[in-house]
Amino acid sequence: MITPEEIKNLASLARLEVSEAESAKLQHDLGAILDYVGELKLAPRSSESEAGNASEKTPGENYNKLREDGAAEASLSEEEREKLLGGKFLKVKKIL
Amino acid sequence: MLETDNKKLNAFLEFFPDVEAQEKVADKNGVLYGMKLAIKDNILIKGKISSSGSKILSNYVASYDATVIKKLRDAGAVFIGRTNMDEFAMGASTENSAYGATKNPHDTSRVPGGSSGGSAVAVAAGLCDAALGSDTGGSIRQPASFCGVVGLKPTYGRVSRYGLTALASSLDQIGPITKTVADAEKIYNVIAGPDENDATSVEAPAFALAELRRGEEKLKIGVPRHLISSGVDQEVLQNFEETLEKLKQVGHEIVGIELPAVKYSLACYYIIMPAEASSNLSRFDGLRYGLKKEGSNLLEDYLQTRGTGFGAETRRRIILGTYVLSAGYYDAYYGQATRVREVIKQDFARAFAQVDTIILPTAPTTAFKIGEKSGDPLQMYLADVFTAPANIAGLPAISIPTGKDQNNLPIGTQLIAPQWREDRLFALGKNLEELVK
Repeated sequence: MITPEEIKNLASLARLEVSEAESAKLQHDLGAILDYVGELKLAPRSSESEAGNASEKTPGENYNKLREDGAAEASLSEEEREKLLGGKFLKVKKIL
Repeated sequence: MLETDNKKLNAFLEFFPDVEAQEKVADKNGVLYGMKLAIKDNILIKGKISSSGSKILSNYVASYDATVIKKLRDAGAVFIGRTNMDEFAMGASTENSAYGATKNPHDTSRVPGGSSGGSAVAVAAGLCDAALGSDTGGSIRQPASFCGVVGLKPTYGRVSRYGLTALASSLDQIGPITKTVADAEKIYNVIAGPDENDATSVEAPAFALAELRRGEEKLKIGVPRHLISSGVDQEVLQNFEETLEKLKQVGHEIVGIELPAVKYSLACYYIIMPAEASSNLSRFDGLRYGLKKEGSNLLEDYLQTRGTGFGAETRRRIILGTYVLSAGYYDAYYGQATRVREVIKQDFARAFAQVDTIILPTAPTTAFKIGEKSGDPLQMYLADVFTAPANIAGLPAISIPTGKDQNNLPIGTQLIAPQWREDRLFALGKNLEELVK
């Protein structure tokens, strides 16, 4: 069972502001979902996946074809950049 | 006329004002020349808003074209608008959109399915010639089934995901929603192929002509009956049995198969998908684009922007994903899910050594009422029980309308093929289409 403190901690890790009422609903919903996915404990295991390389595979056999690094044409012109992004710089509040 | 019809259905979030201009420059020799397409709101078209059905991206204008968009445009197609969807493709009813629910044209008190509900409705209601959707756990096939149209999820890696706003990167695929299997094939042939901007997109292996011809002949079709023994509507089951009978009558062989681990697909899905989603959605922080809520410091900016910008289901999945990835739970949930995923793939591989395709209902029910499941996330998740396995295993699958229930609501049947064997889905799909006419 997930506790209200855990929900609070998860929300903070995920950078989400969550109200008290939502927290209670989340606690209930997550409990039900985790009960459901808990059935995976009963699932069969294969010898291959025991080797621990399962998570490194995706469905394509020859996957992750990487390309050479190199300069590409900018997708936005200067004017478009100005219009869409408000200039060259990203402004953030100070952290410390 | 488009606008009036759309008001009733809420399929489109926007009709593009430049359709005529697009038509003028469209390639007259392109294989899709003259085709008017609707595009799901999570696929980028340069200069157009792409909001993924979310408030947090309500003003985000795409700065580049998705690879699929570029390919479709080069083939002569025009884009008439962007379609409604569950926020960030999280849902099975299109009720989770920040821009209101989309309605099923067969009964406007019911959902169209989701998350590509807007695209499926646009095709079903004749508001466009065809549409693009994205499918992470059934988001193309399930709404296609609910709306009585064709929906294809290609093999993972067959269609570039460059320019698709990511939900779960190891599961997402873009695919067509169309009126006929032939249209789905036509669009698929245009959008498929490797792309250097998507490292998981690959060239499909070539098959010998003799092997390709097999799709035109009598096929061996596997039925995993143990998966449909409970939880499926009586009328859906009856339609499924009738469909099998029709296939048998024209000479296809129907055989029972066992896929023991496949019943764990949905549980697997609801760990892997939120885990990847919570990571993918961490980029929406209010800084570069989209909604920004000002707090007194940077952390408050984040908390408030994400707390108000994301809808309830998205917040739920982010929290769930954060939980299954957190220290202490990671191996029990995410680790176990990736291990079971391998077993599921092996189950399919074993089955495909015996049969050419696998057949299942697309969804356990027909379209449900708006509001019926929105309060109970787990019930909503179960709508994907027959579609999630193909995503978990990376297989191609197609939903084809095969009839209607007593309320005149469409029922879909799903065909699943081995990796890269979309050709088999098209051949058998066209055959099935004829049989149920």
